[in-house]
Amino acid sequence: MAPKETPKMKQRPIVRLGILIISHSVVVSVICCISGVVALLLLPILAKNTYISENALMPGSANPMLSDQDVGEANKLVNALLDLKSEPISSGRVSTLVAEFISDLGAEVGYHKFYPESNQFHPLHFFSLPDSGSLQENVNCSMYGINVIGIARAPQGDGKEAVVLVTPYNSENADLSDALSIGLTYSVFSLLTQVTWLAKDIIWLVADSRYGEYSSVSAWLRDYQRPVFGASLILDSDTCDGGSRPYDLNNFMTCGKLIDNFKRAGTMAAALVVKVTEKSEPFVDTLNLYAEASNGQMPNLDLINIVNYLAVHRQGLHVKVKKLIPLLNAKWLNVLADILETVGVIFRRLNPQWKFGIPAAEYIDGTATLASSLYYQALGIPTGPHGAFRDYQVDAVTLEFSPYSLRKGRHKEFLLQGSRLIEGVIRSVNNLLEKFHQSFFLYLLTSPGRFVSVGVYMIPFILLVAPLPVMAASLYMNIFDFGPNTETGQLAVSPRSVTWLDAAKMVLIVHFWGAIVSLLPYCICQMDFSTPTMNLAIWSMLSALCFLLLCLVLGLHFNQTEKAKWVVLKSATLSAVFIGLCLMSVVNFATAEIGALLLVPLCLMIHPLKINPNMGTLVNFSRMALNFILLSMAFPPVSFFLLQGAVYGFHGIDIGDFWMWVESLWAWNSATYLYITMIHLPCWVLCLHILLHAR
Amino acid sequence: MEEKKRGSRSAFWRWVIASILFRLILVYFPKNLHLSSRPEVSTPLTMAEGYWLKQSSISPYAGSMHHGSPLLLSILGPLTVFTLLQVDLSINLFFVLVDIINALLIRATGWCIQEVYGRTLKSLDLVKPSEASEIILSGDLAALVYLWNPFTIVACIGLSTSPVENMAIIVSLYGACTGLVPLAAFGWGLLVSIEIRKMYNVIWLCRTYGFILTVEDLSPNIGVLWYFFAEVFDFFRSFFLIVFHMNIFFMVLPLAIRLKHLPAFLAFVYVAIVAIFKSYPSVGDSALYLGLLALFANELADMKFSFFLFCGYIGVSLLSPVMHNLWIWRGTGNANFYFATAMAYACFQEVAESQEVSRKRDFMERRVKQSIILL
Repeated sequence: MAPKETPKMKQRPIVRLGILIISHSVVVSVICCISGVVALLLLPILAKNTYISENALMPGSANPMLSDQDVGEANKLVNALLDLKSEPISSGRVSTLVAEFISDLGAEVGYHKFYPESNQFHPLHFFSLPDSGSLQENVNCSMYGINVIGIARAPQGDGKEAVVLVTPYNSENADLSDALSIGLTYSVFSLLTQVTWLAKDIIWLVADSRYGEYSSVSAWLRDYQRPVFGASLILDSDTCDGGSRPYDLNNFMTCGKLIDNFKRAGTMAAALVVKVTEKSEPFVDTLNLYAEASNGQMPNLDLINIVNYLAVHRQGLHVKVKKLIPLLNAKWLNVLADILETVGVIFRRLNPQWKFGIPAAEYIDGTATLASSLYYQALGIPTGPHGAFRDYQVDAVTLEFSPYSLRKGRHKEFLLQGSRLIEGVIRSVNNLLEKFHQSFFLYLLTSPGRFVSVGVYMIPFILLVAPLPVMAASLYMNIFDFGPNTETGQLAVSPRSVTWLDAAKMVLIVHFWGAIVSLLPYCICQMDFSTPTMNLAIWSMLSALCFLLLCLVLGLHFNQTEKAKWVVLKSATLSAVFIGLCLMSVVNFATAEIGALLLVPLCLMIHPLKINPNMGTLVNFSRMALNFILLSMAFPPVSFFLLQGAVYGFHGIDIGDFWMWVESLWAWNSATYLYITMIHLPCWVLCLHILLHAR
Repeated sequence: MEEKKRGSRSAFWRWVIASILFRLILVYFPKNLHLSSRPEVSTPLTMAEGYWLKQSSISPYAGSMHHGSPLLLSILGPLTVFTLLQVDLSINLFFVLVDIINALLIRATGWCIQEVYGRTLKSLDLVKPSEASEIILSGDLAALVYLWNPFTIVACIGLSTSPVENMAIIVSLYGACTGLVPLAAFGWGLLVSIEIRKMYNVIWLCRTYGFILTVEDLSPNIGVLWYFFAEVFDFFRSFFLIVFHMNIFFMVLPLAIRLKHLPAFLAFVYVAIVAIFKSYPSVGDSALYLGLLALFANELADMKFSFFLFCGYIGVSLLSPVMHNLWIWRGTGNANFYFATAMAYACFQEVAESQEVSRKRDFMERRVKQSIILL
């Protein structure tokens, strides 16, 4: 039966537009991809200056009350801590000393004993609660740490809200800067025990960071958020019972305070982690801000804003956020910055109202900061103990002071400056009526005072991924030029659904394989092979084995006679990549952006290795070469080493590094790990399959 | 040909056993999966809490916790005791069993439908022997689609009660298809839980059906009603309740007129519509109609936008938990994020539904024309 000629009805404009776009898919893809990359490079120019969004914060509206007297007291504590260092056994003594100082202020003191956990693999941690499951399995009873908690109750408050100050302190190798960080917080805390304006309780956590800064803070937070009811006290509820109770704990009993008495205040409004480092830039007192928490989450921008505002405008500190230093000297970036500056000048000459373009140096600086912001968000690993707070929806930031004045021995001057900054921040947070919500949670920083918000940074990403569905649709529509006509009215199943069902099956199976690959390191770690290289080799071998097994069991063979098969497979792959990237952009934008840069060109370009007689040799050859280059670049280990090499140089690269990197990702429950194994790798395998497809 | 049939039959059983094994493997990771607390899986019509209330001789319907039917309560209640005291196996095994029964009933229904279909074709002299072999065994396919559908698996592992409700629907469908009126009536009765022992007074009636009709519980789920009724002004509430529920009733009659010669397909369409417009939908409801959809694989194979809809279903069902996480656990999103996915889901379902109906009608019309030409 001949296909019926339906009279062409006039279609709606939106349908016609869709058909137009799909029929010009190649042009659309090229334009979108290029403009996506260009828009990404323009982000530092499009960045806006930060501003305090929440009116209640009113930073810097009050004069600092912190006086030399508080600093003097703090200095005494610093000296006492430094004296302790010379004594042989000091680990328990430090806690006692700090506790004595706190209770002398009239504040409440508590101890928190915790067992550091070795990091575990929770493949679905991202979707579950932060404190789910029993977390007491992998503890070593002989290893424990003791946090000291001081709480200053607010005279004006109802005890339902609190602000947290955290000072990590490692008593085993403490030096002047560690002692100073305690002194700094102590001077603020001593002031806050006396002031009348306090509306939120202040919790000061001196975190025992012998086993890592993050684990002590997260252990304390876990116990804080998960109260134990009934007779079972914190210590007894541990898997390590009283039998292993060490000797020096008795000292704590004599302080008159029970260790089991877990001290609590209200819900946390914000947390500040205070650190001091001796590395410093010449001639300026610097404040480094660290804000990235797990899976690219950031604290509310307002918190960073008030710290930045007070540090720059009140205390005269030089505020810095992390930069990718190698980018600063990159030639291409310098050239690009010059070009953009020139373009900006031309624009301004055309119309002085157009404020496009920034000075070249500023652009380079912004790009380096933006790149590091993207990189650390994409890793999904918190950059400091503040990351533990974000899991409980508490905004937190790490302030790392690197004072130049220390070199000249002017401790008191530094203590005064630093503690006035912290006082100001706490005073601002103290004014808050609700939790931070006004400003952005989703942003990238290009400098401490400039940011790119979600509405702007989504544009490059959307431009990058937009060609995927367009190309998929155009390929899918082309299939029916290859295949038999569907309107013949056969009784048998017509090919429309069957053609894509095979491809969809293939895609699903490969993604299932990806899920298996993501679980394999768990088993490999149980077996405990020695070197990372060995582990990596076993991982790849097992993955390949699983793939072969799946192919055998589920019959993954393509009927190679049909022409249109690879086209359908490509269409299905493009859809899978699109879904995966969009999903990842919600979970962790930075990962999705970097992944899109690697995957999208590959998936759009991929074509079987077969010379097309209709095209010239040059075209054929260049397409093949491009396919090879893109495919090898998108393979996760290769892209890892390329990135490493680009940033740190290619010398001294070890194959095992990749395993170490992957291990760190899953140990921190980073969603990036899931992305690599369950989206990126399967799509790469599918592209490889298409490349090797014999048409 | 006979051999091929036997081959496909053994393949069918292999896949069924594989699906059981897969479920049993997943049962061992309840803590990692947290499925029973997911909004996609559990609706206020859960039962473990209700049984505890009953044990402590409080009417389970007195509070706002339990809204399931009393029949389910008395069947599943005793099983939950084992869950809470020992290993979670007994109740999990029960749900796996229910899934298997559902799949087998769907398969039997499919056979029945196909037999009738084949008979019609033969009577019209439309079928050629070569083509007969190409017809998919839609019963087997539908059973496997039901068993391997991630929605079914999630509902089964998440201990949602929807598999049991689905069983009632399928029993009644099967009874209707095979002409066993009592069986159909039994399934229907099971569904509405009429034949309960008078355990409590009439309270349960308002507490279950009243609860469903008035949309009291506004905790988020994959439907769209919770958001709408959280937003709507109180004095408009009853008006919109009527509008929303009338929406379903308005569809019943026209569809019945249009599809009166295709009763099995009509039943499928009704099931799908209920799953879309229900006040507390869960993935278990979608699992049922997606399974039934495969019963009509032969007719719907050439459906338009099928690939697009397939991708849409996958995308939305993955995006929805992520948005929920963003809203509830990370605090960086809000209710609109999650509701957006719920709306997208409803849209996809509706497009799919309308495509299926129009495709089926086209198919039947073409068939009729063909037979006229041949005659």
